[in-house]
Amino acid sequence: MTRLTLRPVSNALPANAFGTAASGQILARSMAAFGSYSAHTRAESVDEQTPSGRVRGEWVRTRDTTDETGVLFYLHGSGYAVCSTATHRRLVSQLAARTGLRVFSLEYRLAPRHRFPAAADDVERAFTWLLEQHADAHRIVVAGDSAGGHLAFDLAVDRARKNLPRHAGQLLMSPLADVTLELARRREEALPDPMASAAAARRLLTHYTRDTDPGHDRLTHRLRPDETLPPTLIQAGGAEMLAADAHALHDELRGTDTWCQLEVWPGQMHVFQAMPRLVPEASAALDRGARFLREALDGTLDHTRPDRPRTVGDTRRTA
Amino acid sequence: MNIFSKRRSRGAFAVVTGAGSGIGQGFALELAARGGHVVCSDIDLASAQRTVDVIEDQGGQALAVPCDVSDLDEVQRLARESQAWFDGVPTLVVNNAGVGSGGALVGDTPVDDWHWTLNVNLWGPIHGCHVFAPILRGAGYGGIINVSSAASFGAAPRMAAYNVSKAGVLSLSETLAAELAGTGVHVSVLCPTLVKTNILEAGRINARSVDAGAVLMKAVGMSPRKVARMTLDTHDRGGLYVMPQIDAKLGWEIKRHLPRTYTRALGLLERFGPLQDEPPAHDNDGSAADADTSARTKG
Repeated sequence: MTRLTLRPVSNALPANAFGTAASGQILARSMAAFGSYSAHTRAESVDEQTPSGRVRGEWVRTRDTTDETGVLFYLHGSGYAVCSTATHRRLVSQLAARTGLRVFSLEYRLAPRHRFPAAADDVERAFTWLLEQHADAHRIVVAGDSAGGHLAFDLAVDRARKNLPRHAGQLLMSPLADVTLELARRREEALPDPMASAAAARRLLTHYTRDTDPGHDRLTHRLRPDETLPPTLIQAGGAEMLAADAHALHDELRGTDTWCQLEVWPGQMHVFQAMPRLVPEASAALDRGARFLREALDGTLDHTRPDRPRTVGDTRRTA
Repeated sequence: MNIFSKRRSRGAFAVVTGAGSGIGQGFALELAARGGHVVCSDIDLASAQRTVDVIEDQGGQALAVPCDVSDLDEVQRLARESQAWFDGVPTLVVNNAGVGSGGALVGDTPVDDWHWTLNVNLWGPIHGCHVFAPILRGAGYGGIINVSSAASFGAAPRMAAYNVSKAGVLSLSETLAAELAGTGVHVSVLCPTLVKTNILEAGRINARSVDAGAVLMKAVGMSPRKVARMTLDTHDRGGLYVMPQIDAKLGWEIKRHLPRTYTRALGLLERFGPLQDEPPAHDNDGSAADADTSARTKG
């Protein structure tokens, strides 16, 4: 279905302001149509000046927000150029309800106006602000989808390299790992992504990366064996091209002492968790993601679990 | 798996060589989607692992094994490792690994390129059949699919080494089909024309021909997955020759009925065709150094 509708459109859109705005609109509309709010979601916007700059975003709470001691720091997906906290509010509210946590969803600066490393700087600043004002590192968990997953990973790596306290865990949903989209392109040769081509995604990303060397250590993360990140759960759809990136991140983490788990959901597309009205697997994946975040925060993760990639859900073959 | 089933491609215990890309990857994905256990072998283990990742992500079963098919020992090791993983004998073997080469006339083509092409494209399938045919014959059930090419009968100029290697595979398959008739082991040979793969970039082919081939491939090339699907269907039906594309069938018929006209027409095309580099000849020598890593799928 998506293959017939969205892919031709997203591939045909030009890589200019109009094309970016149009694909942003398409994403926002489909997330609104197929996402759903948890009951009694309240969003309270934040715009604070800190010594190092501005922190914008929103606190999202639901009826089930019972734990005010912990914080879920959410980084929305964007391809570094589209979407906002508003488009992802439904997804965030689902995670808020399932974890019982209040969520701080960051409004980071986007390309083409703000290029690398604007978004990464915003994330770092907001995290520092959370540490100073709201919770200790061990009471914070981070989640992000797509480019937000890339930012979350970058935050974790950056803090590990600076020997700063680790946060409790991170949930990466369909994370981006390779900004050149080379992994995605190879994956696409085997199995075309139903949403977009690697070339179209690459065009979108170049708005952010511009002339920066893609091998820059804040764009491409190569871990040394002694760099341990917070416990990490990676979820990806089996049908999406970024599943290759999920594998790459998982392989990178397995070379360290990090607790990590990769779940691939057969037949699912990019950030399917955002569309519980369209795919039943979304709710199941959110349940698992939220349970991981809760366990990471409570220190009850099962350290005996195998770290092999696992396929979840039914074994329906859609290849 | 039902031993009496004629649909050998369903629930197969399959070994695919050159499964890291192109047609081999198409075979691996399609066999996995049909419920099979698939050993994905490639000279480049990382690319084989990528194919395995895609299969496992769909809930399928696959194993990556490195294998240089031009080395008999490695093919024998592939057979051992496959049988250990299957905990039994394979039921389908796809001898697919191959490389592209061409661009120069006979006499201008370096002998080194001849050896390289024949070692992978011809000795690969020979090793595959030498090792696996007795195993399948012993089990009394299974299938062997060899990937040849329309080049095997097309005899296009400037592709002598490639044509010879693929004609050898065709002959090998026909012979094997006769030898295995009535044993429960079925042989098919695939003769595609242009398939969307990396054979041009990964092979030893002059720049002009690569450019021309790339344009054609993009325009009329079939997707590897579709080629694999059609081949497996034909194999299940018991077909020996598999020509999924109309241009291959056309070439085959013309060559059969008008062999002299066909050959002279090709000669004309070569004289006035776009494939000659300036200056011609020996342009392959420079690029040959690292091309050995590219023994992959052919088109």
